[in-house]
Amino acid sequence: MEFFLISLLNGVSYGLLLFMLSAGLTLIFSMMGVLNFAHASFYMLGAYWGYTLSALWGFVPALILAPLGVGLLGAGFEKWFLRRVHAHGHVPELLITFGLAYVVLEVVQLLWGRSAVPFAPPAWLQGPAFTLIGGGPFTDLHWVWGAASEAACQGTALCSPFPATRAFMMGVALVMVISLWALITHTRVGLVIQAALTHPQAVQTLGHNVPRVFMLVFGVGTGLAALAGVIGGSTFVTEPSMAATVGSVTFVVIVVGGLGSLAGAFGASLLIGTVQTMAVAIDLSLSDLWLALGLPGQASAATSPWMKLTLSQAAPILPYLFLVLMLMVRPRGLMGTREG
Amino acid sequence: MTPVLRLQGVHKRFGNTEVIQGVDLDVMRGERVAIIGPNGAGKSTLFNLISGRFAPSQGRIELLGQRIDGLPPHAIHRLGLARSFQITHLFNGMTVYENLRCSVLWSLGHGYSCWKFLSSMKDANDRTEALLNQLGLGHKRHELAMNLSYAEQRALELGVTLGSHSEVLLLDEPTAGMSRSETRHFIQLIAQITQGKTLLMVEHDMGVVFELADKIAVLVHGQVMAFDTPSQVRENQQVQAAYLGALAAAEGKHA
Amino acid sequence: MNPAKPLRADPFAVHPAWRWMFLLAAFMLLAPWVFRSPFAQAVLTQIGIAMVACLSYNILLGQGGMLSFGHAVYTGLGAYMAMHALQSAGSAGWSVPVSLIPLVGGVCGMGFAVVLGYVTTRRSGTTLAMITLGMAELVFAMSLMFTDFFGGEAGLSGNRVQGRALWGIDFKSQTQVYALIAIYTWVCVGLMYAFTQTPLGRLLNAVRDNAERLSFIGYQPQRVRYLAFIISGFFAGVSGGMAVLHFEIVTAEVVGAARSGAYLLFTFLGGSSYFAGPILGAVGMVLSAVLLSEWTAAWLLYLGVLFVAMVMYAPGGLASMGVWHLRWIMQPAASRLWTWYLGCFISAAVAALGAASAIELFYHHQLQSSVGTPLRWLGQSWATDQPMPWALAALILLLGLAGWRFFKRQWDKTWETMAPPRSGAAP
Repeated sequence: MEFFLISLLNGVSYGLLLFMLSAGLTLIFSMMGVLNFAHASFYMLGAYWGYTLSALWGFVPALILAPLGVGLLGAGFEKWFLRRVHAHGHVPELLITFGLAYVVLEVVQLLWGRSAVPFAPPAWLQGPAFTLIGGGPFTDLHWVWGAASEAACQGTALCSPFPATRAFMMGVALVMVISLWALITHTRVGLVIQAALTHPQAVQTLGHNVPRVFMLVFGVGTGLAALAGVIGGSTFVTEPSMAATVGSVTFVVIVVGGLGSLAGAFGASLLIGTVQTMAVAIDLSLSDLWLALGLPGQASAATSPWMKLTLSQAAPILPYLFLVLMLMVRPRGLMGTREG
Repeated sequence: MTPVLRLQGVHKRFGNTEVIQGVDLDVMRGERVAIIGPNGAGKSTLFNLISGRFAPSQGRIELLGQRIDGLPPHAIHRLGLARSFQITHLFNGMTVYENLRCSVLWSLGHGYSCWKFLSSMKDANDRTEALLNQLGLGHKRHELAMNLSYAEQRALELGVTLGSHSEVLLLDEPTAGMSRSETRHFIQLIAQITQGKTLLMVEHDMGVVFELADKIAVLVHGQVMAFDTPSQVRENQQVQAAYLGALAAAEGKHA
Repeated sequence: MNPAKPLRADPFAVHPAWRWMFLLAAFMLLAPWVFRSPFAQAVLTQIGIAMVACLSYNILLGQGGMLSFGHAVYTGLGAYMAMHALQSAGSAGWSVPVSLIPLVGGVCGMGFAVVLGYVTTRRSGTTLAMITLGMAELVFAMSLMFTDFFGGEAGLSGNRVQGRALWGIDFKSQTQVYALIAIYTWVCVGLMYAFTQTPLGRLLNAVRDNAERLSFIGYQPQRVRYLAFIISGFFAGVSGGMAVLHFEIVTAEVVGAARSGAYLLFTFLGGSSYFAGPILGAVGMVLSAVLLSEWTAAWLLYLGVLFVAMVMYAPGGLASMGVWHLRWIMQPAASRLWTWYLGCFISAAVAALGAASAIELFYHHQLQSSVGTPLRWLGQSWATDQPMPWALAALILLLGLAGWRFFKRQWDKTWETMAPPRSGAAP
C-alpha cells in the first residue's frame, strides 16, 4: 500500500515536472503558433547552467539565475532569429527551432562533455522528505518526517521513503501553477494571453504590441523550461540525452491535453506522468493475466513475445500509445479547442 | 418543376448567435438569383451552408432532388454544385494553367489516378485551354497564381469554380474590390460563361444585381425578407425600409 | 500548344524529363569507371540509396506540404522486412532472389504506410507532424522491446552472397552491388518524377497549397494525402531494402529519430520545392556522414548552423539558390553584377573560414587541450592555448563580414538600377 502511495506521489511529481515544461510550450504555441521543437533544449540548458551556477554560488542562486539567464537567451532567440522566419509561415518556424535543438545539443556537448555531469541536489534536499511505514497491506500506515530509523524498518515493516527532491519538485511546480493561474486570470497581460490561447489573430488585430508580447512569452516559456531543468537535472540526471527523452513526452502531453489548453496540459501531464511512473513498477504481462484468468490458449500465451511483455518493459511506449490513440479517437485532445 | 436547389427551414447557430434564422428558398433551373442584404445578414454563411463548409443546425437543403445538408464539400461538389469565394482561395504555388486543370479533373472522371500522364489527357487539357481563353488569361498561363494582379486572381477564382461545368454555381461577391470598369467587364464575362447554368450570386453592387439577376433574394438578419423579380423587390415596402435608398440610387444609375 | 512543357514557372516540369534521365543514366554508368576504389563505389551506392529515401520524403514534404518527423519508420521497417526476407532466402522453402530484395522492402514499406498512414493523414499541418513524431518514437521504442523481430542491440545481419549466381552475378564485389543499386535508383527516380506528372501528383500540390479549396472542387484532401503517403512509403521501403543489400546489417538506428531528422534536414537543405532538391540533399547527407565527419569533430554543429541559416535566408534550399543564380546570370545586364557577386562570394568564404577556424580552435581546445597536441588545420599547426590563432581567426571573420557588408551594398545598389526581374517561381 505504502509502495503504491509513494509510486503515486512519484508519478504526480514527474507529472508536475512535465507540466512545467508543457505549460511553457503551450503558451508559446498558443500565442505564436509555433511549436518550439527546441523547448526541451532549454530544459537541458537550465540543468547545465544550474549545475555550473550551483557549483559556483549554491543551489538557490542557481535556481533563480539559471531560469532567468535561459529565459533571456530564449527571448533573444525569438527576437533575432524566430522573428525573421515568422513571415515564411509555421513550417519554417518549426524547422528553425528544430535546427536550434541540433545546435544547442552540440554546444552543450562541447562545453560540458558527452557524459553525464554530477549535478547533485543540495544537502538540505538530500534524503527523504518523509517515510511511510507499514507492516503489510492491512496494518496501520503511519509516516515519519525524514528518514525512518533503523529499528522501525526491521522485521515485517516496510519502509518507503519519499525523496525530498521530489517533494521540492512538486512544491515548485505547484507554486508555478498557482502563479501562472494568478497571472493569467488577474493581470492585463494574462487577459491578452487568455485571448490569444484561442484567438491569436484577433489579439493581433486589437493592436497589442505583439512583438514585445511574443518576446515575453517566449522568454517566460523557456525560462519555465529551464526552471524545470534545474530541478529535473538535480533530481534525475544531467546528460546530453535528457533533452531528447523528455522532449518527446512533452509533445505527447500537449497533444493529448489539447493544443492550446493549459488545463488540458495539466491534466495530461499528471495522467501521463503517473501512468508511466507506476507502469515501471508493475512487472505483470498480458500472458500473466491470461494465465490468471484461465483463458484458453495458455501455451501460446506463455511464449508469444508481445504477450510476454511486462508492463514495466512497455512503459517507455505508453505515452506514444496514448498519443496515437488520442489522435485517432479525439484529435482535439482532452480539452483542446484548436487543432493547430 | 422541381427546384434545382431547395432550402427548407435552414437555421445556423454559432454558439449563442443564430446567424441564419429560418431560410426557405427554391431556385429553378437556369435562374439567376442575386442574394443581397446588409453586412452581417448571413449571406456568406448561407453559401457556406449550401456548399457544405458548415452543416446547418436545423433544416434541409436539397440539390437536384438530393439531400445535401450535412454532407462534406467534396460530396456536394460531385452532385453538381460549385462555389467561388469572396476572399480568393487559389492554389498559390501552382500556375494558372494548373489551377484550372485541377478544377476540371473530377468532373471528367479522372479521380485520384496516378497511372495517367496529365499531358496525355486531351479532354482535361482541352477544357482547360477553353477556360483559359474564355477568361482571357491565356497570356498568363505559366504565371504562379500568387503573382497575378487582383483582378486576374478574381478571374482565376471564377475559372476554378467553373472548370467542373457544374449545374449550380454559387458566386460569393465575385466583383469584390474591383474598379467600375473591371466590374463591368467581369460581369459580362460571368453572364457569358454561365449561360444555361443556375446561378446564385452574393452581390453588393446594385448595378450588377439589376443587370444580371432574374430574381433577387433579400437576406436580412438571417431571414429571406423577399424573393422576387427585381422590379417587385424594388417596390417591396419592407425592403425599401431595410435598404433606404440603395435601390433607388441603383435605379437612377441603371436608367 | 503542348501544355506538357511549360518552361519557366512550374518547378516540377522544368525540363523534358527524358533528357535528365538520360544524363543520370550516363553519369551512373560512367561513375564506377571514374571512381574505381571500393570505398568510392560504396559512397556512390550510399548516395543512390539516400537519393531514393530523400525523394520519397519529399513527396510528403515538398510536394504535399506534410512535415513528417518519422520517415525513418518506413525506410527502417522496409529494411527490417527486407532483412528477414534475405535471411530466410538462405533457408529452405520459398526464397526471394537477392536482386529483388529491395522490392520486398518496398512492398512492406507500402504496407506499413497503408496501416500507419491512415491514422497519420487524417489530420494535416502541426497535428500531422506530431502524429509522425509519436509514431516514430513508438516504433523506435518497440524496436528495443521486441528483440525477435528487431534483433535487439546487435540488430540483424544477413548475407547477400547466396543463392544461384545468374550470369556470374553474386554481389560479392562492390561494383556489382553498385550496379544493382544504380538500376533501382534510376528506375525509382524516374517513377517518382513520373508521379509528379500525374493527376494525383498535381492534386498533392493542390492539397499543399489549399486543402480546403481542393475539397470544393470534388476531392477529399485526406484521401490525396493518404495515397501520397502510401506511394512515399513504397519508395522509402525500396530504399531500406537497398540499404540491406549494401550494408548487410540493420540495427535499431534505421528507425531512430536521428535518421528521421537527417532526412528532414538534408531534404530541406537540398531544396524541397524542386524535384532535384532532395537529390542534392542526399549527396550532402552521404558526403557529410562519410567525409565531413572525418575531417572535423564539429560537423554536426556546422550542419545545425547551416540549417538555421538556410531556414532564415534561403528556405528553398540549395536548389532554389541554384535557380536564383541561373536567373540573374541569364539577365542581359548581368555583367555589371559579376564584380559585386564575386566580392560577396569571396567575403562570405573568408568569413566562413574565420568562423570555422574559431570553431575548430574551440573544439580542439575543449576536447584535446588536456592532451597537449596542437590543432592541425589547413595544413598548419596551431596551439590552442596561445592568443595568436584566436586573434587571427577573429580578424579573418571580421574582415569577411566587413567585405560582405560592402559588396552586398554595392550589389543592392546595382540590382535596383536594373530592370525588375520577371516574376516567376518562388523559391
